[in-house]
Amino acid sequence: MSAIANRRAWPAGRSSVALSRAWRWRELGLLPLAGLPCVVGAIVLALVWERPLGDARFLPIYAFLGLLLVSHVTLSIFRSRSDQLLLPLVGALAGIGMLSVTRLVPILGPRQLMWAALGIVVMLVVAVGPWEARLLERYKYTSAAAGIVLVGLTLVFGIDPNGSGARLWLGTDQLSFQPSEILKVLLVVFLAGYLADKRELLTTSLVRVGPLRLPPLAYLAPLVAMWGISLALLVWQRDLGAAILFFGVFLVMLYIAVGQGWYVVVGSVLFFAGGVICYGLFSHVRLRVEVWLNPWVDPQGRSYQIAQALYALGSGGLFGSGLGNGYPLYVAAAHTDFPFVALSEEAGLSAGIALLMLYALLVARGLQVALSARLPFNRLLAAGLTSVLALQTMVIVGGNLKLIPLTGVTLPFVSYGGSSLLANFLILGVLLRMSHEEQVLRVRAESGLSTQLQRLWTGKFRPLAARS
Amino acid sequence: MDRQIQTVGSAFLVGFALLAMGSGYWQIWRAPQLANAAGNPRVVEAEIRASRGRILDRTGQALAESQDGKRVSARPVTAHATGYYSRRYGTTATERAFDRYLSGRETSDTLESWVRQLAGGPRRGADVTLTLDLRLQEAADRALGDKRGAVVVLDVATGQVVAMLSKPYFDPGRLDEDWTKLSQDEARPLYNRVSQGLYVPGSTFKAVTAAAALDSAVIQAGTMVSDPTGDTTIDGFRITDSQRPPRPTFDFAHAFAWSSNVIFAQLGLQLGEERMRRYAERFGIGKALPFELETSPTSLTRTTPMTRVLLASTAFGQGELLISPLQMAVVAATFGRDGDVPSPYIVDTARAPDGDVLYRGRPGSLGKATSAQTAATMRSFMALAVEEGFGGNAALPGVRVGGKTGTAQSVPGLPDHSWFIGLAPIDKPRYAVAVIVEFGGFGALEAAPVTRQVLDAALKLG
Amino acid sequence: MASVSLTDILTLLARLAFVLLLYIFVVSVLFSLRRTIRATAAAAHEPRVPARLVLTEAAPGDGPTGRVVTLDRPLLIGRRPDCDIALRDDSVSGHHAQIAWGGESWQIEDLGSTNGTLVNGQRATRSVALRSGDVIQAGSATWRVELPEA
Repeated sequence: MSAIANRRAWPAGRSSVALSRAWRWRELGLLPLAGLPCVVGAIVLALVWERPLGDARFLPIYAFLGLLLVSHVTLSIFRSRSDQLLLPLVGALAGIGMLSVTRLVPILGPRQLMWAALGIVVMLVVAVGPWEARLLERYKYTSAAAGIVLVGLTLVFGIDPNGSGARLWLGTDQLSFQPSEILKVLLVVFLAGYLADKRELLTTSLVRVGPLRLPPLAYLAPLVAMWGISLALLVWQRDLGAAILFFGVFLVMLYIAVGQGWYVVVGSVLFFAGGVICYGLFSHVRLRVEVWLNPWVDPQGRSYQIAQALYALGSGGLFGSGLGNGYPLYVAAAHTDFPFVALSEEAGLSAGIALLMLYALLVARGLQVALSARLPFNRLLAAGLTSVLALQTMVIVGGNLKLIPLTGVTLPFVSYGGSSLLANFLILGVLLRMSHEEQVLRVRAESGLSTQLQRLWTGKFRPLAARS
Repeated sequence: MDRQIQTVGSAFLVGFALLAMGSGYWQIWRAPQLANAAGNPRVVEAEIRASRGRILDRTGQALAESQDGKRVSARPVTAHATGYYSRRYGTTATERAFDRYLSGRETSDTLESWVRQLAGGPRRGADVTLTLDLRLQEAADRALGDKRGAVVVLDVATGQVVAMLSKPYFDPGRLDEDWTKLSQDEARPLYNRVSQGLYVPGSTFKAVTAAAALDSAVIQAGTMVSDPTGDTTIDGFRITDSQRPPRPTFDFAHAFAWSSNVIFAQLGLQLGEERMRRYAERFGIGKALPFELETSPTSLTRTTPMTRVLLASTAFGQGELLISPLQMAVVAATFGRDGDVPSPYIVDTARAPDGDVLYRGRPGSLGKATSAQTAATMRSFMALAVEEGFGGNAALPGVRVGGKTGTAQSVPGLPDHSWFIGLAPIDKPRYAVAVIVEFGGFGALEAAPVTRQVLDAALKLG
Repeated sequence: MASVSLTDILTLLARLAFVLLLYIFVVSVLFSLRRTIRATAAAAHEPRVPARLVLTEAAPGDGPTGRVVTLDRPLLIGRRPDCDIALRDDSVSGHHAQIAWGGESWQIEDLGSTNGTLVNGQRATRSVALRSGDVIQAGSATWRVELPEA
């Protein structure tokens, strides 16, 4: 009685709590806006190529947009409470990716769609499945081991189906995937687990070494070892982009976990030292640096790619030369390595900046998921996965713009590449899962609904329900 | 951990901002350099897609046009008028001066051109029609034969350039291939001798001196003068006639016809530097003539003030004079227009693909050099020079031709340059011609016959 | 006479639309983001009365008693590690109960626990407002609520 009388109004907040509002309306409202540029792009191509909109080469684009809708419906049916901005953002990016592949190499459109579909299935399974993100914490060492096995396999059985000079793929010439893409997820899982576990030890029981306070080597060692091995293998394998990426992710996660800024400083110094050593040891590193510093040294030969990329950029201007109107194919491997340049040439600086903004928003959202997580492991996992996306984007676009030497990483969701799409959709799935979990908790905190209603409303899958 | 995550987020934001700036650097700041760079394949692609306008002669014959992205020349004889269009070596003459029209960037409708520019689609250029007559050009080519030199024909009434030949010429369509050979050729085929060539005019300049003297009443046509020895000395400098006149005394008209250096030297002193300069300027001498193509500035003299010797030498056509064939044709044409100096032009129209006329060349005037009376007197002088003087080789049956020979120093050890300026029909002149045959010797020898053939062809064309 | 066709104009418009739509989407996402941040900020700025919970009884392993928890943000009580007050008592459920600011007072609510949450000895079925001196119990753990003198 008194309980009923004591009931008070709850803070308005943004608790999308009421039963009737279980549908993901905001996402539904944003998805068309995300998909529209893609459709309009197809219209431009149809006009320029003088083909009907229903032409076979545009079908992958429409199919992809359909997949987005299916994802939205699936998430809503399963009462996912995950963030409603992530899917539209990724949808916009991947849509541009579909458009880009269709424009550059139309025959690969269906391929890209297939991998995207696979990625979306994985994403949905991870996002609404009956498990929790923190389950991954248990498998941190398994992750690490799996990663090393993968790298080992690639060393031994690796193939080079595209003739890029490095044997980074596994599989056959028809169907191949790049293990380094999965490796980055495994690495983040391991690091998140390990750092969450040993975090206090790393910060509290510090040992003085000269003017520095270092954590005990016993705890630091496995970290450095794991990272060092993967790095060395990557450099040996000539996957320089992945090496830079892994190094960056490692530093970021370490910094977040331990909170000491000077780790970053020391790490950067080590990185440059390592870079200099590699420069001295490996001719292919020397080549990349040389071409980066002076792309005009051999514009028909070694520096062809970056020189052509710069020409393409310069020919774009503010509004571009027009989708389908420019000559992005002069840049070799534009659909895998230079989609940013191809888009910038044809749609201009305005589109390039819009694309960067989309990535920035995606990263911001991912970090917000990290911030709102309660468990340290979840936070590190979310932050780490988001950092992977951020760093990958910055490394490849930086290489495209000659800000740093060119590497072979892909532009997430936009580059043509099955393994990349799969891995990145997996990342998205994990982020959605985590934001769902946090949201359920928060909604509970703000809801004020009776427990009866709560049981009804969280649906069949109640991973956070009280255990009886 | 929160703070660290936020710091990392800010760092990423900074990173993305740097990427945006980098993008802007290449796409905006370095764009002009990159978009037109030699290594950029888009330049060639744009050429192939765009259809550059043709250059035509006045009868509609194609002189230069685009084929498969290359600029080819149907008529190398007009090479200096059309000019060349090369990605590596640049553009000259009409290809350059009217590039806006030929490339299609100039349109009649500003809204349309703005839309076109934004759409970035392929352009269709305007056709440029020159005032040249290909038939006359080819006649001049035949007349000049295998000699080096220049021929220019002006339409007296309008100032249009009906023929402009500079020999040796080249094939603009093969410029890229032949560049090394052409640029190192000591005969300098890439040079437009008509408007850019500067030569000592020799006795043709006497026309200017005579006009100046008559117009300022320093002398009259019938004034008697004497040149008994065929030579004289001024301030220790010896001046001789190239050929002694048949009589020791004669009137001024015959002094012109028989090209007496002695008489003109004395006349120059009488005229004075100030009047000499003034009249030279009126004819356009002393700077580059206004013209669509590349012109070199002519000059009366480098020295101020002029010494008596210099003034005397200038008066009969030597000294420090540097004149172009175009300039001498303008001088001749002036006498056909009652003393009004024509402004020469070579481009008649630029016509867009849809038929709109985007440009029209119009006759103009550079002012009045002499009175109509003086001009008439000069015409009679020039007729006399052909009928009784050294210009006999320019005479045509059935037409009265007027002109003046000139023999100019070239290079020590080599024959003089052979000059001739002509005007026909002398009573109501329609065409003015200037011819120079390099190393041709006496004006009468080479240049005069060439002029005859050219005038013949011109008058037959109507 | 135009040499710019309808197709050209359409293409131009579509190209501009492409870029425009990208930015419209970016702006929509930004607006959505702002609303999110505003909401959480608003929630954070709710005027609150600070309160304290003093542990008066606890199961062995959850002691010592006398420990004070400051109540300045939503508190989750339970056995799971993601709870603000994580207990080891077996009779406490994973997510047992939570305390949050209800606009006028702190409210405690049972989150569907097996053994229930007691306020002053009575089982709380809905959210209950807390007053100074109230005793709340989850499993074997008991706290006394202390509010500043109003």
